[in-house]
Amino acid sequence: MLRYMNCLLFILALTLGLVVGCTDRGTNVTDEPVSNAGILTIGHDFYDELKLQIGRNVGGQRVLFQMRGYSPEEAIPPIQGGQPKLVPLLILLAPQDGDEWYFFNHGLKQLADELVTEGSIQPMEILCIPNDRVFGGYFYAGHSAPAGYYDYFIGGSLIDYLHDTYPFLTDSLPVGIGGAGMGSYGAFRAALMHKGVFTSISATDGPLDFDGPDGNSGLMELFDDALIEQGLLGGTTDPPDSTWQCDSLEVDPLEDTICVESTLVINYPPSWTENFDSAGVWHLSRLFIGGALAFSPHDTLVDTTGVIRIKFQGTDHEELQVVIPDSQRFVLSDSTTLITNIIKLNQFNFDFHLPFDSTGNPYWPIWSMWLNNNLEKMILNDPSPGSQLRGVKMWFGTSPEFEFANYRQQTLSWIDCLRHSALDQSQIQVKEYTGYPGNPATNNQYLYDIMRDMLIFHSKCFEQQ
Amino acid sequence: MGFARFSAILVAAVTMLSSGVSASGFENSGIGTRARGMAGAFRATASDWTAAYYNPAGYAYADDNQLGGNMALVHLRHELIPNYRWGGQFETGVFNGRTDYNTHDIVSLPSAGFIVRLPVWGETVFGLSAYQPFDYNITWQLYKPLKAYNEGATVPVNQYQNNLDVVAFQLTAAREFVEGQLSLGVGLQVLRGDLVFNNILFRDNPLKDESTDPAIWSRPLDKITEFNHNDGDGWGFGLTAGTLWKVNEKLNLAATLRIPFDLTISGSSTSKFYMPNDSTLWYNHDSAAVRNEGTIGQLFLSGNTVTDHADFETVLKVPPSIGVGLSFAANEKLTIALDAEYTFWSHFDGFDFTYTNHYGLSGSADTSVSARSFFTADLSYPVDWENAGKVMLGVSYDCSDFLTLLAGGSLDQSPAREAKQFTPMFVDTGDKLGLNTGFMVHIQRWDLGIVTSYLHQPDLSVEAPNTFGQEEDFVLFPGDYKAATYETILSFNYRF
Repeated sequence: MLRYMNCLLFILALTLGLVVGCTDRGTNVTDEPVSNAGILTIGHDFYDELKLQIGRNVGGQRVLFQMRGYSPEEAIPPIQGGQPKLVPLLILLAPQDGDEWYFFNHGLKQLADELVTEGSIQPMEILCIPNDRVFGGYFYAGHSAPAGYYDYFIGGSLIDYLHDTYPFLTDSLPVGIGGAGMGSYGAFRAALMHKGVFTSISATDGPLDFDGPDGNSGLMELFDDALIEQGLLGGTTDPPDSTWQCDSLEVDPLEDTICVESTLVINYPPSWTENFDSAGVWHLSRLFIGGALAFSPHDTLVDTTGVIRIKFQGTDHEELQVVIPDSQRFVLSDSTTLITNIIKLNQFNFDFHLPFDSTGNPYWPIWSMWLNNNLEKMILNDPSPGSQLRGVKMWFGTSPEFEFANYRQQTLSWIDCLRHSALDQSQIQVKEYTGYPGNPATNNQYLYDIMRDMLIFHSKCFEQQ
Repeated sequence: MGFARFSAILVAAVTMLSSGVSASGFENSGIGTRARGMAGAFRATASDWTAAYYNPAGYAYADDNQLGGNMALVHLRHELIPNYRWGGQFETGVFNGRTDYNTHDIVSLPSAGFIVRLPVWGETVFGLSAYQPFDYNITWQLYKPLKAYNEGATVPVNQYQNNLDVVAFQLTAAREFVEGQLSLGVGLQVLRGDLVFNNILFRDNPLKDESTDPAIWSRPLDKITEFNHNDGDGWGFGLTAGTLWKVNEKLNLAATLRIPFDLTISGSSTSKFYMPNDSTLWYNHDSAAVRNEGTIGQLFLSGNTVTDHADFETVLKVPPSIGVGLSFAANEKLTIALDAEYTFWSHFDGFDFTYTNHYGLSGSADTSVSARSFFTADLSYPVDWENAGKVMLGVSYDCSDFLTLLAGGSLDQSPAREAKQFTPMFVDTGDKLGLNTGFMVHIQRWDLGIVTSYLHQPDLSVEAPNTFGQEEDFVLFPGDYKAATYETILSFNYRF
């Protein structure tokens, strides 16, 4: 009997082993919810701010300022009727040469969908602002006609327009701003000039401290690089052409014609300012051209007496507009670093002053105009330094591998400045990142990855409001 | 009887307490319920048709003609929590951070053979058998393209698959050279190899060399996803030999040798390249080389799937091995056996696929030299294994003329002792412990058996090196691995 019991137990154990060893553990691939979020196209001409911006309204057409927005499902009016939910607003500014698709091209929609779906961020409208395409951008700065009046636009009329136009946005909900590269500067500039508008700022490496940590680096170290780009360092390096011109001829006794009086004629090559090319594709040159048009423009050639004829897009309606009131013109009599051969566009013509001379040294009368727009100066000029950003949460994504335009150095310098500006240290978060071998983070190659942290940061800030 | 019980308890205790492992690499764990029930410790006791696998010399002691077969049902129950991130931090689309199982599949491994005693060269026993000395079959679904890469791309579910079979058709001959004491056996094999090998590869985006605009090859467009599928077969030869020495009535000693020759596997291949999908990026791009239809730039942002078909050839270097064994008949009911085997896994060096006769490419994928070079590149899956040993201990206990109980354990050294090339294609996480148990019933001329086997493997954590992210790194798959194998073997043997 005992033997049969043992055999039975043995067989039962075998059977149990078989069952355990054969069960299906199921699939590890889960169905992901479908997102009904959309991409919103926002076109508005912001005519007062941008009417004379270079390249805009060319041909007398009022060209819309095109923006794209990520609209979460909650912000879309329900099909069955009713009102959409109110959502907070995040404004993202593209870097140099980036358009309104820039962040979408780095996966913004898919990332936002994923984060909203998994609950990592709250639904929010994310509006992407393009940088200028002609020279790559004007630092989202200036109160000058050629660059556009971004100072009034980004933190002012833009937000007013959005709140007035879109029912899912309201001034009772917080607004965040962020940017990449030049857009990082634009985000901080807008926050400094529009105190209390933005509750959070995110930034990747960008031109955040023009003269660097020691007052002699940052963009200053790039002056000669910009000239080298165009082969203009040291001014004109080509030797002058010199020839003797005969002024008087005589015939000698051997009946040969000889010159008895001559003059040395020297033909000097064009100066470096004449050779400076505003039509090229050099990134550094374009960076300084864009900045010069924002910070040190020269618009003496603008026809202020005339009018331009503006035709509304898609209609036959036309309006006559005064070009630039004298009160808004920038005229500098100093021509040392004046670049006059800018691309001419119809009757508009804007020159600009570069902040450096032919040797790559700063030309202080102009460079000081740039420094007046340095964030450090802007924050310190306030009667209560740092008060413009008090209560504003800030997030930085910075990489030691970032190479372009000393952006990394400038970013760290700006962070250091903020930390010494009587701000609450908990307001500032810094994420350091590096790429992987073979694909270093020399520019914004990893924006897709750090944008995740940016969005989560803003969402948490919105929740705390 | 007391000695028998003591021996049985001793063997069981040794088996249970042993640490280590069963079949390493892609070697089959063995065939036949009697042998498998004794954990493969069968070289010195082999006397049925499965001796063709364990020790051909055992045929010489088969008293009857035999016809037998068995079916092994194998279930690989592995788990993987991937950590497949470039530089250890950047998402790739692999299902990182969650537990993934290999695709549920109970693999059947049939084998069969017969023995006849013929009056040739004295009295020689011949046998013909078919079995799988090498087998591996695993499939994983571990990847889905990041939405920001290509939201609409559908990658096959059998994206990581290694179905490798080597079937041996073996003619065996054995005879006694010293009657009742020494026998020799030789098996000549015709080997048939079948291989289905799928993999996901992340190739460096060639636009990086074509354009200075980083936007078109920035994360997550920095790598192009390739699904590579190879399906082929080939033939080869092998040799196995053994000797069995009956030292006395209780003790047997045995030695074996297996030499499989390399197999050339050829067949057809399909590679699907899933292009990043970013229409606004190429449509609005400043450069005509990116913006215009039919350019490489447009192709690599189009979201299309580029398919390349080709013929392939690769060499499967299956490892030779040597083994020794002893068996001790403690009494007329209890037999204890101990075997050791050493397999030269360093001979196997993975797969180098050479592709020829490409077809299926069109447009710029075909006409552009750089694109065509990218799509038609040969692929290599190197493996750097070391030789490995295995020890098996088994007992059989004849309860009665009707019932035989079997038990055994094995310790198996892993050939993959460094994790630097570890992938889900060969899950060999370390030294393994095998526990086997089963029974056979004897009904007249029939022997029917069932054995179940559990193979425990240690957990393995494969770290991503700091440099992880370069194209050649697709041979490494970082993550946390857990592995276990369950196997059930059913058999019959008819004596006539």
